Amino acid sequence: MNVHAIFRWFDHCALATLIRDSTWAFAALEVVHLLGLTLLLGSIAVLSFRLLGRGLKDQTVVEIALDTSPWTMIGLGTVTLTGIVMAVAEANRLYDSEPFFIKMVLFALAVILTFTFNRGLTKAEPSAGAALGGGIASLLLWFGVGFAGRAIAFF
Amino acid sequence: MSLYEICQLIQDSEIGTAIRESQIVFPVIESFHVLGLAISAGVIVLLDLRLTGLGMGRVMPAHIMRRLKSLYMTGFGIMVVTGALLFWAEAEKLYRSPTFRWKLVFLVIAGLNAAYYEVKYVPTMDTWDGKKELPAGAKLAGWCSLISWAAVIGFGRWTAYGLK
Repeated sequence: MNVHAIFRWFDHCALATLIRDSTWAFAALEVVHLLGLTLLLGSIAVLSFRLLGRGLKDQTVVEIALDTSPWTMIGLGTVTLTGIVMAVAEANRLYDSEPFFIKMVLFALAVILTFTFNRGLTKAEPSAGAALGGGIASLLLWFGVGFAGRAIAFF
Repeated sequence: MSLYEICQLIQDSEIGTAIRESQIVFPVIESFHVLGLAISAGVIVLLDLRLTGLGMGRVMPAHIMRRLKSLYMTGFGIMVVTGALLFWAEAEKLYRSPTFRWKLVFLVIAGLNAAYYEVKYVPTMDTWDGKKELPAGAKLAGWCSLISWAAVIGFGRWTAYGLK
């Protein structure tokens, strides 16, 4: 069974048909996806800014990482769940979508960074170099995911 | 001339038409609109979570407001400019959209709530030491902001989805 067959199967499964046939289900999923994205990107932006020596400088990086990480996780959980359901409903179209492929690659990298580097920030202050590199990488990857995601609708 | 006719004129204007029909300009503007939103509303939501007591307990509300002002004001600026351009391109459709009207209602509520917070609580915000409960009104303002921004985002997304 190749990848395309899996995508085609998704496209025909009951969940996909249910969502496509409903007039409001997809829009509702989009709304929740966007609310999750706001929480995710907002908390990532605040932590990344702190890493770059800006923003919440009265607290340590560890303090900001501890405070933002639950909201990053809630946002990440929300976008992932709603994202999977929407992807299943549109699987056939997404198989050929270049922006979707780019989004998934960036998403995978961003998730790895979040669960390794960001997780470490809740335990110990990073070195100056790691803070700079991690802050820039985190901003570029996560906002890149957002841009690529928006592009799926248009290209 | 009615408001509807003005919206028609705006949409049919040369610039409005150019934005609407462009394969690249419209998507780029819309992407920046969403990412400006993610920055500004994202930071505001963190402040609201602090005010309501749901989270961000290690940071004082005053720090979130002052230290992150340039960040959320930049995001807000991007959102307003790109929002105006999107309206330029689709004014007539937006006039007819019920969800867009709801979005504007909640935008006004969010704005009034922010103005109230600015006048009532920002002057004394620095004296909150983080040990005691925040004033009940500040907590309420946090909830009001949280709900109204969620509604703005929700109705905004729904508007784009159902625009005809």
